[in-house]
Amino acid sequence: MMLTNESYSSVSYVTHACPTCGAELILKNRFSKTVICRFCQSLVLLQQKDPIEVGKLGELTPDMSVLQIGCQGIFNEVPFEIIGRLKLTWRNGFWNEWYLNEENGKPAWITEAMGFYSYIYEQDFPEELLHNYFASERSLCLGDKLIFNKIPYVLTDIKNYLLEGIEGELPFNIKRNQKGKTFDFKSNTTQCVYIDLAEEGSPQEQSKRFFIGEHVSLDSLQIQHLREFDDW
Amino acid sequence: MTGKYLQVLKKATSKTSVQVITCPKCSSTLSVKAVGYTITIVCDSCGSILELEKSHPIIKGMSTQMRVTKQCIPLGARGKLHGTIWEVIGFLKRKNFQTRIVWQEYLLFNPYKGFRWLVEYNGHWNYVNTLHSVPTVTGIQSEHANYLNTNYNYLTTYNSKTIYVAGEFYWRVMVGETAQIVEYINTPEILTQEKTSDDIIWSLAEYLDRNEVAEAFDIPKRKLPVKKEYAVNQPSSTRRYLSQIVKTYVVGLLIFFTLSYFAAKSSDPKEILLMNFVAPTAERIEIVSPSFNIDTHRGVVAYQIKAPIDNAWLELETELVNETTGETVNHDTGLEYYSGYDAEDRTYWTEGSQVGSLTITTPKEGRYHLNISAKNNDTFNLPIELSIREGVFSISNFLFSFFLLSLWPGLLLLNELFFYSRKHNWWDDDD
Repeated sequence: MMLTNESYSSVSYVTHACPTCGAELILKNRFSKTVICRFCQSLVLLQQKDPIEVGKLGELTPDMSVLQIGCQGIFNEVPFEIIGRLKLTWRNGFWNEWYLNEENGKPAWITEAMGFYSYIYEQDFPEELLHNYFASERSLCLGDKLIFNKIPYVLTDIKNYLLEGIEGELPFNIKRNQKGKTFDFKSNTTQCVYIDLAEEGSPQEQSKRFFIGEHVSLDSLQIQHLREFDDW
Repeated sequence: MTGKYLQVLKKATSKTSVQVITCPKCSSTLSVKAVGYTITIVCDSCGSILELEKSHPIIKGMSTQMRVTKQCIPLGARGKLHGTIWEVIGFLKRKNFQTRIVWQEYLLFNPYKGFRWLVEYNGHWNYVNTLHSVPTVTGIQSEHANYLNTNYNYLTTYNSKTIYVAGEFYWRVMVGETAQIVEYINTPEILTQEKTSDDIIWSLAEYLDRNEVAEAFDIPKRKLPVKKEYAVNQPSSTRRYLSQIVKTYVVGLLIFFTLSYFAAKSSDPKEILLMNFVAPTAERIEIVSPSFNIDTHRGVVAYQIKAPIDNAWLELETELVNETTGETVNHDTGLEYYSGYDAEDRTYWTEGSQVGSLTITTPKEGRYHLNISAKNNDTFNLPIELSIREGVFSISNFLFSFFLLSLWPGLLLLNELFFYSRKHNWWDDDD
């Protein structure tokens, strides 16, 4: 393992060798826990010791998403860069969760579904708060209401997902064919809350994740290096 | 972020955004436009409704009335609306259960902007955006909905059924599908809640002029359905200019009032004629004034007459004679003044005035004199003072300009009022 410190204070990246093909795996975030080899598609988990290969993921099915790894933008005056992608499929389609390197180091994501974008931050799972409302996260029903930071939310979507594949690097460990469930809470403004429950036995340290953020337009993020299409 | 830090993955994948599939029923080739998003596509040759499971098409049903249905904007057409180029990728016909009314929905796609809808009914168009927030419904009978601090009033609830589908969609679409629709209105917008067995979707529709649709998709206007009746959220044709016109009018008035105020304050009338003469009782008197000069640069010219009449009238006919050209202009003016004591009310009263003035159209520059003919019915000989001044501030000119300035905005406002009264009458009659 080699740690490269560039002259820019906050900019550093880590490289590993792919355990399968030996190609260089570049991590833009030194805390990343999963990376996929660009050359052999090996899924590599980065744990205490050496990186271990836990199988291969196929190429992602084609889609018209205009985001891609390497896109750079600005949200609330903070620059970010897309460094990872989770592509999840459900009964009626797919969505993407783009993992960001934010300049201030906060765990930020852009979720993208059918041309709708949300810019969200992961927070500690608010067990107590949620338990004031619900017996358990697993008993949540459509229409359930929740007040968080004085904003009322309503549960509008519950989806069972299957991980189709990833690109780049991610801040937690994943496994092939990982399954889970997401809960989308919307407000009467742009604020939104997501809860993600990974299937039992998933390798994530945390099987429950809590995100809060807001719906954004792509234009407002001033993204550079968007994907280009010949006919658009 | 620094450039050094960036490493865009330049993948070898083709930039072509269209995916090609084969219809399992008739073997026609279909191209998918919204690759990845689309999960239902209708074969344009045989009408099979196909679902894409991991890109493999599976027949789920058949679309109906293939030959009967005509779309006025074809699939694949691109047009610029609200600054974005959209491609028509899907088309639905839906029917209101109760009223049997049928309307058309066009699904629009742009990879950088997502999806929108164009909805057409009776030649009226709406541009529809699916919302990602949940409007707050309030009122005992849910009569209001609030979205981003705008209030919408309850309009109607009905059930719809999809009766025809073509093109591609990002959700599972089937002929015969039903939904419950609740509408809230704030002209020119309609907030819609659509409930299916799967989910609740809110959307916001904005009235779109037929001409904008024709222009956007470069379709001759005659090929679009003729506008019939009124759409419930249809604004008047002048509405979108109205606020601009009102603003311009208010600014115009302010400027006009300011200028008039300064003109009135700075007006420096110059007396060019002052004459006194006596009109004998009940007799017509003819009199010629001394010559005087009119200098048109100074502006408005006005006569002023003063006479101490009491319970009488004075009639004054003047002929303004240009001494160079011989041209004449006639004016009639006069005074009336009555006064008395009302024994019942124990009050004094007066009517009329002992002073009168007359603004005349400013004549050509030159030397003039007046031929005056005066008559009165006062009981004694009447001393009359007649003066002519130029450079006077004219109240009547001021009022006339104000009227002209207000004419156009006033007519627009009337048009607006008539439009809404016609529209409301039409909707009331319909009930």
